[in-house]
Amino acid sequence: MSELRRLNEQGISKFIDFLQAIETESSIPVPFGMLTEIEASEELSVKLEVEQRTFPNRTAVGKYLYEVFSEGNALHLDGDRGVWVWLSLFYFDQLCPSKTDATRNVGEYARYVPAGHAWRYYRHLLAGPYLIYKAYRERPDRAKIILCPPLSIPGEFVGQLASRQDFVQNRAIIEAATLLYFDEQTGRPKRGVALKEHRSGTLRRFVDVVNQLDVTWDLFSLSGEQLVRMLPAEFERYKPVSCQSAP
Amino acid sequence: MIRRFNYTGKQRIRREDVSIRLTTSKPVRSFEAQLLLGEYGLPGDAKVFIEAYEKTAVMRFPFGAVGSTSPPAGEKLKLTEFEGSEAVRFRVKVVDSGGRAGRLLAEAEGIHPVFPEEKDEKRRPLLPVRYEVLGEQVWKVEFPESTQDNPILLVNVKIPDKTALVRSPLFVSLVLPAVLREILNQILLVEEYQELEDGSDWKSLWLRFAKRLAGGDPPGEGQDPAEWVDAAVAAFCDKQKAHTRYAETQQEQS
Repeated sequence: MSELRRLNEQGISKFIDFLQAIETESSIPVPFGMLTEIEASEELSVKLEVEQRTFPNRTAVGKYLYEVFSEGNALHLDGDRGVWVWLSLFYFDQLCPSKTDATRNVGEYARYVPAGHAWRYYRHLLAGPYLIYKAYRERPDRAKIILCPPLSIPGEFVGQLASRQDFVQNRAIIEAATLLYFDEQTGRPKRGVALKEHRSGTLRRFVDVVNQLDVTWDLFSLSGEQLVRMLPAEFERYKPVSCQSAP
Repeated sequence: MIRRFNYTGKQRIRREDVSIRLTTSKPVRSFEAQLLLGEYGLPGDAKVFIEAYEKTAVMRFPFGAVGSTSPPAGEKLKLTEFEGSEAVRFRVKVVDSGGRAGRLLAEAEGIHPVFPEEKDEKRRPLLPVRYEVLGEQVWKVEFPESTQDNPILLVNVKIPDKTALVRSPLFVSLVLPAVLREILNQILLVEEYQELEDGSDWKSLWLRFAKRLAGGDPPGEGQDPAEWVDAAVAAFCDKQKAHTRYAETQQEQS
Protein backbone atom coordinates (compact mmCIF):
# COMPACT_ATOMS: atom_id res chain seq x y z
CA MET A 1 0.00 0.00 0.00
CA SER A 2 1.15 3.55 -0.72
CA GLU A 3 0.13 6.80 0.88
CA LEU A 4 -2.00 8.86 -1.52
CA ARG A 5 -0.54 12.34 -2.02
CA ARG A 6 -1.09 15.18 -4.48
CA LEU A 7 1.33 16.57 -7.06
CA ASN A 8 1.97 20.28 -6.56
CA GLU A 9 2.16 22.77 -9.46
CA GLN A 10 5.86 22.06 -9.95
CA GLY A 11 5.18 18.32 -10.00
CA ILE A 12 2.29 18.72 -12.46
CA SER A 13 4.44 20.84 -14.74
CA LYS A 14 7.21 18.22 -14.68
CA PHE A 15 4.70 15.47 -15.36
CA ILE A 16 3.38 17.36 -18.42
CA ASP A 17 6.99 17.77 -19.57
CA PHE A 18 7.40 14.00 -19.22
CA LEU A 19 4.22 13.35 -21.28
CA GLN A 20 5.57 15.60 -24.01
CA ALA A 21 8.98 13.97 -23.90
CA ILE A 22 7.87 10.34 -24.18
CA GLU A 23 5.94 11.11 -27.35
CA THR A 24 9.26 11.35 -29.14
CA GLU A 25 11.63 9.51 -26.78
CA SER A 26 9.98 6.41 -25.34
CA SER A 27 13.02 5.26 -23.37
CA ILE A 28 12.63 8.07 -20.84
CA PRO A 29 11.79 6.43 -17.50
CA VAL A 30 8.49 7.22 -15.80
CA PRO A 31 9.28 9.70 -12.99
CA PHE A 32 7.75 7.61 -10.20
CA GLY A 33 10.10 9.31 -7.74
CA MET A 34 7.85 12.40 -7.84
CA LEU A 35 5.17 10.41 -6.01
CA THR A 36 7.08 10.93 -2.76
CA GLU A 37 9.53 13.77 -3.46
CA ILE A 38 8.62 16.80 -1.38
CA GLU A 39 9.58 19.17 -4.22
CA ALA A 40 6.95 17.61 -6.47
CA SER A 41 4.25 16.28 -4.16
CA GLU A 42 2.48 17.04 -0.90
CA GLU A 43 0.67 15.16 1.85
CA LEU A 44 -3.11 15.29 1.94
CA SER A 45 -5.11 16.62 4.86
CA VAL A 46 -6.53 13.08 5.28
CA LYS A 47 -4.44 9.90 5.35
CA LEU A 48 -5.47 7.64 2.48
CA GLU A 49 -3.78 4.59 1.02
CA VAL A 50 -3.94 3.11 -2.45
CA GLU A 51 -2.84 -0.22 -3.76
CA GLN A 52 -1.00 -1.01 -6.98
CA ARG A 53 -3.55 -3.42 -8.45
CA THR A 54 -4.67 -4.34 -11.95
CA PHE A 55 -8.10 -3.07 -13.00
CA PRO A 56 -9.88 -5.13 -15.67
CA ASN A 57 -12.15 -2.24 -16.69
CA ARG A 58 -13.41 1.25 -15.82
CA THR A 59 -16.04 -0.09 -13.42
CA ALA A 60 -13.37 -1.73 -11.29
CA VAL A 61 -11.23 1.40 -11.00
CA GLY A 62 -14.25 3.65 -10.43
CA LYS A 63 -15.51 1.40 -7.63
CA TYR A 64 -12.08 1.04 -6.04
CA LEU A 65 -11.36 4.77 -5.99
CA TYR A 66 -14.87 5.54 -4.75
CA GLU A 67 -14.24 3.17 -1.83
CA VAL A 68 -10.86 4.80 -1.12
CA PHE A 69 -12.34 8.31 -0.96
CA SER A 70 -15.65 7.45 0.74
CA GLU A 71 -14.27 5.03 3.35
CA GLY A 72 -11.58 7.58 4.19
CA ASN A 73 -14.23 10.32 4.58
CA ALA A 74 -12.37 12.21 1.89
CA LEU A 75 -14.91 12.72 -0.88
CA HIS A 76 -14.11 16.43 -0.71
CA LEU A 77 -10.67 15.63 -2.14
CA ASP A 78 -12.06 14.24 -5.39
CA GLY A 79 -12.03 17.71 -6.97
CA ASP A 80 -8.33 18.19 -6.26
CA ARG A 81 -6.50 18.23 -9.58
CA GLY A 82 -3.16 17.43 -7.93
CA VAL A 83 -4.59 14.21 -6.46
CA TRP A 84 -5.68 12.98 -9.89
CA VAL A 85 -2.33 13.75 -11.47
CA TRP A 86 -0.62 11.88 -8.61
CA LEU A 87 -2.90 8.90 -9.29
CA SER A 88 -2.16 9.14 -13.03
CA LEU A 89 1.53 8.83 -12.25
CA PHE A 90 0.94 6.03 -9.72
CA TYR A 91 -1.03 3.94 -12.23
CA PHE A 92 0.80 5.23 -15.31
CA ASP A 93 1.82 1.80 -16.61
CA GLN A 94 -1.85 0.79 -16.70
CA LEU A 95 -3.13 4.05 -18.17
CA CYS A 96 -0.46 4.26 -20.83
CA PRO A 97 1.07 0.79 -21.18
CA SER A 98 4.24 0.12 -23.15
CA LYS A 99 3.64 -1.56 -26.48
CA THR A 100 5.74 -4.46 -27.77
CA ASP A 101 8.11 -1.99 -29.43
CA ALA A 102 8.47 -0.17 -26.06
CA THR A 103 6.66 2.96 -27.28
CA ARG A 104 3.52 4.35 -25.61
CA ASN A 105 0.34 5.90 -27.06
CA VAL A 106 0.05 9.00 -24.88
CA GLY A 107 -3.01 10.60 -26.51
CA GLU A 108 -4.44 13.84 -25.18
CA TYR A 109 -2.98 15.13 -21.92
CA ALA A 110 -6.43 15.56 -20.36
CA ARG A 111 -6.41 11.76 -19.98
CA TYR A 112 -3.77 12.18 -17.27
CA VAL A 113 -3.93 15.84 -16.20
CA PRO A 114 -7.36 17.37 -15.60
CA ALA A 115 -7.34 20.85 -17.07
CA GLY A 116 -9.47 23.78 -16.03
CA HIS A 117 -12.68 23.10 -14.17
CA ALA A 118 -13.93 20.01 -12.43
CA TRP A 119 -16.17 19.04 -15.33
CA ARG A 120 -13.18 18.40 -17.52
CA TYR A 121 -12.23 15.55 -15.20
CA TYR A 122 -14.56 13.26 -17.15
CA ARG A 123 -11.90 12.94 -19.83
CA HIS A 124 -9.38 11.81 -17.22
CA LEU A 125 -8.76 8.04 -17.34
CA LEU A 126 -9.21 7.64 -13.57
CA ALA A 127 -11.40 10.58 -12.52
CA GLY A 128 -13.80 9.86 -15.40
CA PRO A 129 -14.76 6.32 -14.32
CA TYR A 130 -14.68 7.42 -10.67
CA LEU A 131 -17.17 10.25 -11.27
CA ILE A 132 -19.45 8.02 -13.36
CA TYR A 133 -19.36 5.26 -10.77
CA LYS A 134 -20.04 7.80 -8.01
CA ALA A 135 -23.05 9.20 -9.92
CA TYR A 136 -24.48 5.75 -10.74
CA ARG A 137 -23.27 3.86 -7.67
CA GLU A 138 -26.82 2.71 -6.76
CA ARG A 139 -27.21 1.11 -10.21
CA PRO A 140 -23.82 1.04 -11.99
CA ASP A 141 -25.29 -1.50 -14.42
CA ARG A 142 -27.28 1.36 -15.98
CA ALA A 143 -24.04 3.04 -17.09
CA LYS A 144 -22.33 -0.14 -18.28
CA ILE A 145 -21.88 1.19 -21.78
CA ILE A 146 -19.32 3.73 -20.53
CA LEU A 147 -17.99 1.73 -17.57
CA CYS A 148 -17.21 -1.56 -19.31
CA PRO A 149 -14.19 -0.59 -21.49
CA PRO A 150 -10.63 -1.22 -20.37
CA LEU A 151 -8.84 1.57 -18.57
CA SER A 152 -6.35 2.55 -21.24
CA ILE A 153 -8.76 2.22 -24.22
CA PRO A 154 -11.94 4.07 -23.26
CA GLY A 155 -13.28 3.78 -26.80
CA GLU A 156 -15.94 5.46 -28.87
CA PHE A 157 -18.78 5.34 -26.34
CA VAL A 158 -16.73 7.09 -23.70
CA GLY A 159 -15.53 9.59 -26.30
CA GLN A 160 -19.01 10.39 -27.55
CA LEU A 161 -20.98 10.22 -24.30
CA ALA A 162 -18.65 10.70 -21.34
CA SER A 163 -16.61 13.60 -22.70
CA ARG A 164 -19.72 15.79 -22.60
CA GLN A 165 -20.89 16.48 -19.11
CA ASP A 166 -24.43 17.31 -20.22
CA PHE A 167 -24.60 13.77 -21.63
CA VAL A 168 -22.78 11.85 -18.94
CA GLN A 169 -24.78 13.45 -16.11
CA ASN A 170 -28.04 12.78 -17.89
CA ARG A 171 -29.35 9.44 -16.68
CA ALA A 172 -31.85 9.16 -19.52
CA ILE A 173 -29.11 9.42 -22.16
CA ILE A 174 -26.66 7.03 -20.50
CA GLU A 175 -29.35 4.50 -19.59
CA ALA A 176 -30.83 4.67 -23.10
CA ALA A 177 -27.40 4.10 -24.67
CA THR A 178 -26.84 1.12 -22.36
CA LEU A 179 -30.28 -0.32 -23.18
CA LEU A 180 -29.65 0.05 -26.89
CA TYR A 181 -26.04 -0.88 -27.32
CA PHE A 182 -24.74 -2.98 -24.41
CA ASP A 183 -24.50 -6.68 -25.20
CA GLU A 184 -25.17 -8.65 -22.01
CA GLN A 185 -23.81 -11.83 -23.59
CA THR A 186 -20.34 -10.47 -24.29
CA GLY A 187 -20.20 -7.76 -21.64
CA ARG A 188 -19.20 -5.28 -24.36
CA PRO A 189 -20.91 -2.89 -26.77
CA LYS A 190 -22.76 -4.59 -29.64
CA ARG A 191 -20.75 -4.98 -32.81
CA GLY A 192 -20.99 -2.39 -35.56
CA VAL A 193 -22.63 0.36 -33.52
CA ALA A 194 -19.59 2.50 -32.70
CA LEU A 195 -18.75 3.50 -36.26
CA LYS A 196 -17.30 6.89 -37.07
CA GLU A 197 -19.96 7.31 -39.77
CA HIS A 198 -23.46 8.49 -38.91
CA ARG A 199 -25.16 5.30 -40.18
CA SER A 200 -28.73 4.60 -39.18
CA GLY A 201 -29.20 3.37 -35.65
CA THR A 202 -25.51 3.72 -34.67
CA LEU A 203 -24.02 5.67 -31.78
CA ARG A 204 -23.27 8.76 -33.86
CA ARG A 205 -26.89 8.85 -35.06
CA PHE A 206 -28.02 8.39 -31.44
CA VAL A 207 -26.04 11.51 -30.50
CA ASP A 208 -27.55 13.42 -33.46
CA VAL A 209 -31.11 12.43 -32.54
CA VAL A 210 -30.60 13.15 -28.84
CA ASN A 211 -29.38 16.64 -29.77
CA GLN A 212 -32.55 17.14 -31.83
CA LEU A 213 -34.81 15.90 -29.02
CA ASP A 214 -33.00 18.19 -26.59
CA VAL A 215 -34.50 21.19 -28.41
CA THR A 216 -38.07 20.22 -27.51
CA TRP A 217 -37.69 17.99 -24.44
CA ASP A 218 -36.07 18.38 -21.07
CA LEU A 219 -34.12 15.15 -21.26
CA PHE A 220 -33.19 15.28 -17.57
CA SER A 221 -36.90 14.77 -16.81
CA LEU A 222 -37.11 11.48 -18.75
CA SER A 223 -36.12 7.92 -17.91
CA GLY A 224 -33.87 5.83 -20.13
CA GLU A 225 -36.83 3.72 -21.24
CA GLN A 226 -38.87 6.82 -22.15
CA LEU A 227 -36.02 8.15 -24.25
CA VAL A 228 -35.57 4.82 -26.03
CA ARG A 229 -39.29 4.75 -26.89
CA MET A 230 -38.98 8.24 -28.45
CA LEU A 231 -36.24 7.18 -30.85
CA PRO A 232 -37.25 6.77 -34.50
CA ALA A 233 -37.58 3.51 -36.42
CA GLU A 234 -33.90 3.35 -37.40
CA PHE A 235 -33.12 2.33 -33.78
CA GLU A 236 -35.80 -0.38 -33.62
CA ARG A 237 -33.40 -3.30 -34.08
CA TYR A 238 -31.34 -2.18 -31.06
CA LYS A 239 -34.25 -1.53 -28.71
CA PRO A 240 -34.97 -4.04 -25.95
CA VAL A 241 -38.27 -5.83 -26.48
CA SER A 242 -39.96 -3.87 -23.68
CA CYS A 243 -39.29 -0.59 -25.56
CA GLN A 244 -40.13 -1.69 -29.09
CA SER A 245 -43.05 -0.21 -31.00
CA ALA A 246 -46.07 -2.43 -31.43
CA PRO A 247 -46.07 -4.06 -34.92
CA MET B 1 -29.35 38.93 -42.23
CA ILE B 2 -29.85 35.70 -40.30
CA ARG B 3 -33.47 34.98 -39.39
CA ARG B 4 -34.52 32.43 -36.81
CA PHE B 5 -37.74 30.46 -36.95
CA ASN B 6 -39.35 28.72 -34.01
CA TYR B 7 -40.80 25.39 -35.10
CA THR B 8 -40.81 23.84 -31.63
CA GLY B 9 -43.82 25.58 -30.09
CA LYS B 10 -41.89 26.45 -26.96
CA GLN B 11 -41.87 30.04 -25.79
CA ARG B 12 -38.74 32.13 -25.58
CA ILE B 13 -38.39 33.75 -22.17
CA ARG B 14 -37.24 37.35 -22.56
CA ARG B 15 -33.83 38.31 -21.18
CA GLU B 16 -35.32 41.12 -19.10
CA ASP B 17 -37.46 38.56 -17.25
CA VAL B 18 -34.43 36.68 -15.93
CA SER B 19 -31.85 38.12 -13.59
CA ILE B 20 -29.00 36.00 -12.26
CA ARG B 21 -26.47 37.39 -9.85
CA LEU B 22 -23.40 35.63 -8.52
CA THR B 23 -23.32 36.20 -4.80
CA THR B 24 -19.96 35.11 -3.49
CA SER B 25 -16.38 35.61 -4.50
CA LYS B 26 -14.08 33.18 -6.26
CA PRO B 27 -13.16 30.38 -6.35
CA VAL B 28 -16.55 28.69 -5.68
CA ARG B 29 -19.41 31.07 -6.34
CA SER B 30 -23.10 30.81 -5.53
CA PHE B 31 -25.94 32.51 -7.34
CA GLU B 32 -29.39 33.94 -6.82
CA ALA B 33 -32.07 34.29 -9.46
CA GLN B 34 -35.14 36.40 -10.09
CA LEU B 35 -37.65 35.09 -12.60
CA LEU B 36 -40.70 36.89 -13.98
CA LEU B 37 -42.80 34.16 -15.59
CA GLY B 38 -46.29 35.51 -14.90
CA GLU B 39 -47.00 36.91 -18.37
CA TYR B 40 -46.35 33.81 -20.44
CA GLY B 41 -49.60 31.94 -19.74
CA LEU B 42 -47.67 28.89 -18.53
CA PRO B 43 -49.39 26.23 -16.36
CA GLY B 44 -48.86 26.93 -12.67
CA ASP B 45 -47.65 23.39 -12.03
CA ALA B 46 -45.04 23.41 -14.82
CA LYS B 47 -41.61 22.75 -13.31
CA VAL B 48 -38.86 25.37 -13.41
CA PHE B 49 -35.17 24.52 -13.63
CA ILE B 50 -32.10 26.73 -13.86
CA GLU B 51 -29.00 25.22 -15.43
CA ALA B 52 -25.53 26.70 -15.13
CA TYR B 53 -23.34 25.68 -18.04
CA GLU B 54 -20.08 26.21 -19.80
CA LYS B 55 -19.56 24.37 -23.08
CA THR B 56 -20.90 20.89 -22.31
CA ALA B 57 -20.61 21.13 -18.53
CA VAL B 58 -23.84 21.61 -16.66
CA MET B 59 -25.20 21.98 -13.13
CA ARG B 60 -28.95 21.80 -12.69
CA PHE B 61 -31.03 23.43 -9.96
CA PRO B 62 -34.78 22.84 -9.40
CA PHE B 63 -36.63 26.12 -8.80
CA GLY B 64 -40.11 24.83 -7.95
CA ALA B 65 -43.04 25.47 -10.27
CA VAL B 66 -44.25 28.43 -12.34
CA GLY B 67 -46.96 29.19 -9.78
CA SER B 68 -44.56 29.10 -6.86
CA THR B 69 -40.92 29.44 -7.82
CA SER B 70 -38.56 28.69 -4.97
CA PRO B 71 -34.81 28.16 -5.01
CA PRO B 72 -33.12 25.17 -3.38
CA ALA B 73 -31.46 25.79 0.00
CA GLY B 74 -28.48 28.18 -0.12
CA GLU B 75 -25.75 25.55 0.09
CA LYS B 76 -27.23 23.86 -2.96
CA LEU B 77 -26.81 26.97 -5.12
CA LYS B 78 -23.02 26.66 -5.14
CA LEU B 79 -21.43 26.42 -8.56
CA THR B 80 -18.95 23.79 -7.49
CA GLU B 81 -18.40 22.47 -11.01
CA PHE B 82 -17.32 25.90 -12.24
CA GLU B 83 -14.69 26.78 -9.66
CA GLY B 84 -12.67 29.75 -10.91
CA SER B 85 -14.69 30.07 -14.13
CA GLU B 86 -15.55 33.44 -15.59
CA ALA B 87 -17.37 31.93 -18.55
CA VAL B 88 -20.34 30.27 -16.85
CA ARG B 89 -23.76 30.99 -18.41
CA PHE B 90 -27.29 30.10 -17.36
CA ARG B 91 -30.45 28.82 -18.97
CA VAL B 92 -33.97 28.67 -17.60
CA LYS B 93 -36.27 25.80 -18.53
CA VAL B 94 -40.00 25.51 -17.92
CA VAL B 95 -41.04 21.88 -18.24
CA ASP B 96 -44.49 20.34 -18.64
CA SER B 97 -45.44 18.16 -15.67
CA GLY B 98 -48.85 17.21 -17.03
CA GLY B 99 -49.95 15.20 -20.05
CA ARG B 100 -46.67 15.54 -21.95
CA ALA B 101 -44.33 15.41 -18.99
CA GLY B 102 -40.81 16.43 -19.88
CA ARG B 103 -41.82 18.65 -22.81
CA LEU B 104 -40.14 22.07 -22.85
CA LEU B 105 -42.74 24.81 -22.63
CA ALA B 106 -40.44 27.82 -22.40
CA GLU B 107 -36.74 28.50 -22.30
CA ALA B 108 -34.15 31.26 -21.98
CA GLU B 109 -30.55 30.51 -22.91
CA GLY B 110 -27.20 32.24 -22.76
CA ILE B 111 -27.96 34.31 -19.67
CA HIS B 112 -24.86 36.10 -18.48
CA PRO B 113 -24.73 36.42 -14.70
CA VAL B 114 -23.87 39.65 -12.98
CA PHE B 115 -20.63 39.22 -11.06
CA PRO B 116 -20.38 40.54 -7.47
CA GLU B 117 -17.56 42.86 -8.55
CA GLU B 118 -19.80 44.44 -11.22
CA LYS B 119 -21.96 47.42 -10.43
CA ASP B 120 -23.51 47.72 -13.86
CA GLU B 121 -25.82 44.80 -14.67
CA LYS B 122 -25.25 45.27 -18.37
CA ARG B 123 -21.50 44.81 -18.10
CA ARG B 124 -20.28 41.35 -18.91
CA PRO B 125 -16.86 40.02 -19.85
CA LEU B 126 -16.52 39.89 -23.63
CA LEU B 127 -13.52 37.64 -23.45
CA PRO B 128 -13.43 35.26 -20.47
CA VAL B 129 -10.08 33.63 -19.73
CA ARG B 130 -9.66 29.93 -19.03
CA TYR B 131 -6.76 27.56 -18.41
CA GLU B 132 -6.16 24.82 -20.96
CA VAL B 133 -3.42 22.31 -21.78
CA LEU B 134 -1.82 23.95 -24.83
CA GLY B 135 1.56 22.26 -25.20
CA GLU B 136 4.03 24.98 -26.15
CA GLN B 137 1.37 27.55 -27.08
CA VAL B 138 0.99 30.35 -24.54
CA TRP B 139 -2.50 31.36 -25.62
CA LYS B 140 -5.22 30.55 -28.10
CA VAL B 141 -8.68 31.88 -28.93
CA GLU B 142 -11.47 29.30 -28.73
CA PHE B 143 -14.64 30.13 -30.64
CA PRO B 144 -17.98 28.96 -29.23
CA GLU B 145 -20.27 26.37 -30.77
CA SER B 146 -23.39 28.20 -29.61
CA THR B 147 -24.20 31.73 -30.77
CA GLN B 148 -25.07 32.62 -27.19
CA ASP B 149 -21.67 31.86 -25.68
CA ASN B 150 -18.53 33.94 -25.95
CA PRO B 151 -15.11 33.32 -27.46
CA ILE B 152 -12.69 32.35 -24.72
CA LEU B 153 -9.05 33.26 -24.37
CA LEU B 154 -7.28 30.02 -23.43
CA VAL B 155 -4.07 30.37 -21.46
CA ASN B 156 -1.53 27.58 -21.09
CA VAL B 157 -2.25 25.69 -17.89
CA LYS B 158 1.46 25.77 -17.03
CA ILE B 159 1.36 29.55 -16.48
CA PRO B 160 0.84 30.11 -12.75
CA ASP B 161 -1.28 33.30 -12.81
CA LYS B 162 -3.43 33.77 -15.89
CA THR B 163 -4.91 37.04 -14.66
CA ALA B 164 -1.47 38.58 -14.17
CA LEU B 165 -0.43 37.41 -17.62
CA VAL B 166 -3.37 38.90 -19.52
CA ARG B 167 -3.05 42.19 -17.63
CA SER B 168 0.70 42.47 -18.16
CA PRO B 169 1.81 45.38 -20.39
CA LEU B 170 3.51 43.03 -22.83
CA PHE B 171 0.39 40.91 -23.26
CA VAL B 172 -1.85 43.96 -23.63
CA SER B 173 0.43 45.58 -26.18
CA LEU B 174 1.51 42.55 -28.22
CA VAL B 175 -1.21 39.93 -27.87
CA LEU B 176 -4.59 41.56 -27.27
CA PRO B 177 -4.56 43.52 -30.57
CA ALA B 178 -3.91 40.22 -32.37
CA VAL B 179 -6.76 38.60 -30.44
CA LEU B 180 -9.12 41.40 -31.45
CA ARG B 181 -8.08 41.06 -35.09
CA GLU B 182 -8.54 37.29 -35.02
CA ILE B 183 -12.03 37.56 -33.54
CA LEU B 184 -13.17 40.26 -35.99
CA ASN B 185 -11.77 38.31 -38.94
CA GLN B 186 -13.59 35.20 -37.72
CA ILE B 187 -16.88 37.12 -37.58
CA LEU B 188 -16.59 39.07 -40.83
CA LEU B 189 -14.50 36.83 -43.07
CA VAL B 190 -15.10 33.27 -41.88
CA GLU B 191 -18.70 33.49 -40.65
CA GLU B 192 -19.62 36.43 -42.93
CA TYR B 193 -21.78 37.92 -40.22
CA GLN B 194 -22.63 41.64 -40.10
CA GLU B 195 -25.65 41.94 -37.81
CA LEU B 196 -25.27 44.42 -34.95
CA GLU B 197 -28.60 44.21 -33.22
CA ASP B 198 -28.91 40.64 -31.95
CA GLY B 199 -28.03 41.12 -28.30
CA SER B 200 -27.97 37.37 -27.67
CA ASP B 201 -25.31 36.57 -30.26
CA TRP B 202 -21.63 36.92 -29.31
CA LYS B 203 -20.78 38.11 -32.82
CA SER B 204 -23.13 41.10 -32.53
CA LEU B 205 -21.65 42.00 -29.14
CA TRP B 206 -18.13 41.99 -30.59
CA LEU B 207 -19.16 43.97 -33.67
CA ARG B 208 -20.77 46.59 -31.44
CA PHE B 209 -17.60 46.76 -29.36
CA ALA B 210 -15.51 47.18 -32.53
CA LYS B 211 -17.96 49.74 -33.95
CA ARG B 212 -17.37 51.95 -30.93
CA LEU B 213 -13.63 51.68 -31.60
CA ALA B 214 -13.73 52.06 -35.38
CA GLY B 215 -16.27 54.86 -35.27
CA GLY B 216 -18.65 53.45 -37.88
CA ASP B 217 -20.75 50.46 -38.92
CA PRO B 218 -18.97 47.32 -40.13
CA PRO B 219 -18.82 46.87 -43.91
CA GLY B 220 -21.87 45.27 -45.51
CA GLU B 221 -22.14 42.00 -47.39
CA GLY B 222 -19.60 41.66 -50.22
CA GLN B 223 -17.40 44.55 -49.00
CA ASP B 224 -13.81 44.01 -47.86
CA PRO B 225 -13.72 44.36 -44.06
CA ALA B 226 -9.90 44.68 -43.80
CA GLU B 227 -9.86 48.47 -43.51
CA TRP B 228 -12.60 48.53 -40.87
CA VAL B 229 -10.85 45.82 -38.83
CA ASP B 230 -7.57 47.77 -39.10
CA ALA B 231 -9.29 50.91 -37.81
CA ALA B 232 -10.79 49.05 -34.85
CA VAL B 233 -7.48 47.43 -33.91
CA ALA B 234 -5.60 50.74 -34.27
CA ALA B 235 -8.17 52.50 -32.05
CA PHE B 236 -7.87 49.70 -29.49
CA CYS B 237 -4.09 50.15 -29.44
CA ASP B 238 -4.50 53.93 -29.04
CA LYS B 239 -6.88 53.44 -26.15
CA GLN B 240 -4.58 50.95 -24.43
CA LYS B 241 -1.46 53.05 -25.24
CA ALA B 242 -0.01 49.80 -26.55
CA HIS B 243 3.30 51.08 -27.86
CA THR B 244 3.91 53.32 -24.85
CA ARG B 245 3.35 50.38 -22.51
CA TYR B 246 5.60 48.18 -24.57
CA ALA B 247 8.36 50.82 -24.64
CA GLU B 248 8.14 51.25 -20.87
CA THR B 249 8.64 47.54 -20.25
CA GLN B 250 11.67 47.57 -22.54
CA GLN B 251 13.10 50.53 -20.65
CA GLU B 252 12.55 48.80 -17.32
CA GLN B 253 14.38 45.73 -18.56
CA SER B 254 17.39 47.62 -19.93
